[in-house]
Amino acid sequence: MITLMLVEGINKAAFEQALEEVAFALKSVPFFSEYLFEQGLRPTDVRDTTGFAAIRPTTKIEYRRNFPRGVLAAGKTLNDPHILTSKSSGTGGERLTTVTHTFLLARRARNTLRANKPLLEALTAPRFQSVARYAPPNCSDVECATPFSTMEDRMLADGTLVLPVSHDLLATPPAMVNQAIDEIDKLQPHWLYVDPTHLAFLIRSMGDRGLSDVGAVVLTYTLCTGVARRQICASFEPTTPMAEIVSMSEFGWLAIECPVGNMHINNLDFFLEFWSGSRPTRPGELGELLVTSLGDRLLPHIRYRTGDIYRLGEHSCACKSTLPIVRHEGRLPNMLKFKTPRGLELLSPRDVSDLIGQAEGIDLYRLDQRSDGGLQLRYVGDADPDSLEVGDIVDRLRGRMPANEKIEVKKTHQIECGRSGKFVSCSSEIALELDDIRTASSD
Amino acid sequence: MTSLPVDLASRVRPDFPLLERQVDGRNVKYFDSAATSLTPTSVVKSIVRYYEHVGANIHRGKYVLSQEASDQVESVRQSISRLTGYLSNEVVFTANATSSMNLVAHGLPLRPGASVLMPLDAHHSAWLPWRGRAAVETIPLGPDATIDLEAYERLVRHEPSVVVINHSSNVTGFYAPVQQMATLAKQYGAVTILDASQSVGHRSVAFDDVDFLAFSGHKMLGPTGIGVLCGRYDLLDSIRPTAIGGGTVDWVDSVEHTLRKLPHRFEAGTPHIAGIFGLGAAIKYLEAIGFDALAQHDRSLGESMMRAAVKRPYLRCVGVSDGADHGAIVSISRNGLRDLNQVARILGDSYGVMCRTGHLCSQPFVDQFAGKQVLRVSGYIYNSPGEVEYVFEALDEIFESIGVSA
Ligand SMILES: [Zn+2]
Repeated sequence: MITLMLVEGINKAAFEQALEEVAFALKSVPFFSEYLFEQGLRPTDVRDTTGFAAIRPTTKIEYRRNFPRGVLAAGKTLNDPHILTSKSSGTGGERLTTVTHTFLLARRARNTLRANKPLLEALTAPRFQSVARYAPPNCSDVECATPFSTMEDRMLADGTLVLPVSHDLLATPPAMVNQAIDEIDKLQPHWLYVDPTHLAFLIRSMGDRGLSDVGAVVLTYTLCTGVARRQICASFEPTTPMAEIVSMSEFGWLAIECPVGNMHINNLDFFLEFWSGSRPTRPGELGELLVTSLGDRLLPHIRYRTGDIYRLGEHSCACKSTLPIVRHEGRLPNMLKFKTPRGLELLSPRDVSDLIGQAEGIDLYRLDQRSDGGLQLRYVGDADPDSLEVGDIVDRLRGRMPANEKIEVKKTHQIECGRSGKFVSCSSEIALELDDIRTASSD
Repeated sequence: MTSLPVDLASRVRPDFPLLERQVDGRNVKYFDSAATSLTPTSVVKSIVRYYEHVGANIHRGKYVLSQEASDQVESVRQSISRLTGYLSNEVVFTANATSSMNLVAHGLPLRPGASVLMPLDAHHSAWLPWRGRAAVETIPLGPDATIDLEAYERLVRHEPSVVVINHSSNVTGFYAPVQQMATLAKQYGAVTILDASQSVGHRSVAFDDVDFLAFSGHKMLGPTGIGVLCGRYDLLDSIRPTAIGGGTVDWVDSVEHTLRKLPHRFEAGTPHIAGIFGLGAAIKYLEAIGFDALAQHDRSLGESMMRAAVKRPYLRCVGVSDGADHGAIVSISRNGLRDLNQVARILGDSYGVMCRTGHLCSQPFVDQFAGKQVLRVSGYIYNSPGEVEYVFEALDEIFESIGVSA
């Protein structure tokens, strides 16, 4: 029997609310009552941790194929006030249309920001009104990848200006880069809501034209690599509040980097579970995050598989935040996979970023693992492929791989983005499930 | 005693493997055939057969594989001749109907001040190639979105150089009175061009008095990337090729060259041989069904679509006409709802229904009749009236969830 672990400081306090969420979904969400019925569960079965854990985790597929009629709470429509619709494109796992109450998104953002007081203060200051977004076009909720759109076309209802950019970031023509820079000059945004790879590209393209008037920077959408962070930090005052956050179109803000540099996850608005295959993970292990929304009366999510792999922190943080520490490692398809005598081992995009660090000679990189296991590191930057700097990086990466792994290194001018417009720093063609994995720290 | 006739859709569905595909556990209901039709197994097999068994280029080598390829390509040209009523040397393979239209518009000799008559419901691909080459005048449509024949007659009397006729609108599915329009145009000396992209594969496209005929393979069960231009010999001969190179010349020295005979002078470079193989198989497949049966299915499916749309007061249908001949296409909009893309997305993701939104490459027409983007439901031989009912019931649910169905 699978039993849920309730852990003080992680998810224990929210469990009663999670049960209420299930009760609400059973009563008001057509898809969910059918879903439980199909699994042979009665409403009375879900009253404790065992009953809760018996609910098969939901996936994006269920929320996609039942939208809107099956997943919206009874009596709600997409035209109701205070609703934000968010669309992710694509043909595979990413594709989804979802809706959230704007007040719920605001509450989640505020609670997440508890772990970063300087950013909280900056973003909630009354003068912080205008925001510019520089992000993958498919995440932007407006058609921005056309040079003919105007600032008005790209102004969202909440006052966010979406800056123009190509789907393939590095293929953004100079005129469109200048358009983005001119619009920043014109808008004078108080803060930036950006993809770190995109912002680093913009900074490289700006040359001497600085961004230093910006009062705060939120880095999201994709992992902030060390090399992107080096370029971004060099462009702002050291005192500028800045943090990487994890945000999902289904939930809004979920986790945030604290001033000390650790990631903290919001356990006030979400019931959190971390699973590796069929067992809950212990601190230090890799596990997929399952989220149950709390108090969502529009489109509640129950035990929703995020596809994001985290490592729960083993220690408390010097920043004193009570939100639990996690390390956001990335998604399974983006992790490098190695067969070792001890079992399969993973190297996450976050691990790779840590190993490459803030290398001066590298502006952008992508590490690919082919289906036959071959590895290739491509990078854009000044460093010579034969330089000591690049050699050290390769040594550090190989130090975390089985002894016979080779890495082909290639310096280039162009590294492509994914079809969604998101830049991928790490990718593997080797597919497997989390059940198959033993990680260095899991035995 | 004869057995009951099995309806066309259930008879042909097993030939279309894509219809077995599931997306997120739901069967695909394909309603975007006006953009691209599905391909039956026989077409896929003929394409594979080219790559697996023939492989060689055409009209180049004397070895057996090359000759096999050439023979097959030329025999497809003959089936097009049979389908259209043009001679086989009047049939040119192109990349698609758009490039067929461009070939005529850019190569046809025109006198200074020439004008072109263009129906308002013409596709961008029929319309835009003429811009900059001639003055384009619009043939208006009546309030029901069918050709205003009286207005057309008045315009033709001004002796335009060219008259473009749109056999079937890709927005409304209405069929134009092609024979009547073409004969009238010829009486006033115009060159007539028929865009049959939307009709080929549903109705016969063989008419008198049509000088040029253009269509694509991918809307008649064939592959993408292959199209056809048919032209009456003398007029085709008058066209200056816009692309020359390998395959288009008989003799070349360091300064001069002689163009090949018709139609090969218009087929520069290695053509889409596999595509031609596939197009041949598509024609064979359609001929086996027969154009009477195809037209009957097109009409009755179109009627069930129109009935379903009209009986829903919350929908606005682009072009409603009692008497007009129309096929299996209906375009709808909804007052008070700008974002039909969302509806199309939900139709696909939650109901498995694939259909298209936008201006459908016919923006002047859609802007005038709908004022904004439309959602188009278009069917073909593999769609049944039952599926049409499913689509409209899905729309009922979606509009209710959006909160705009009242
Ligand atoms: Zn901290």
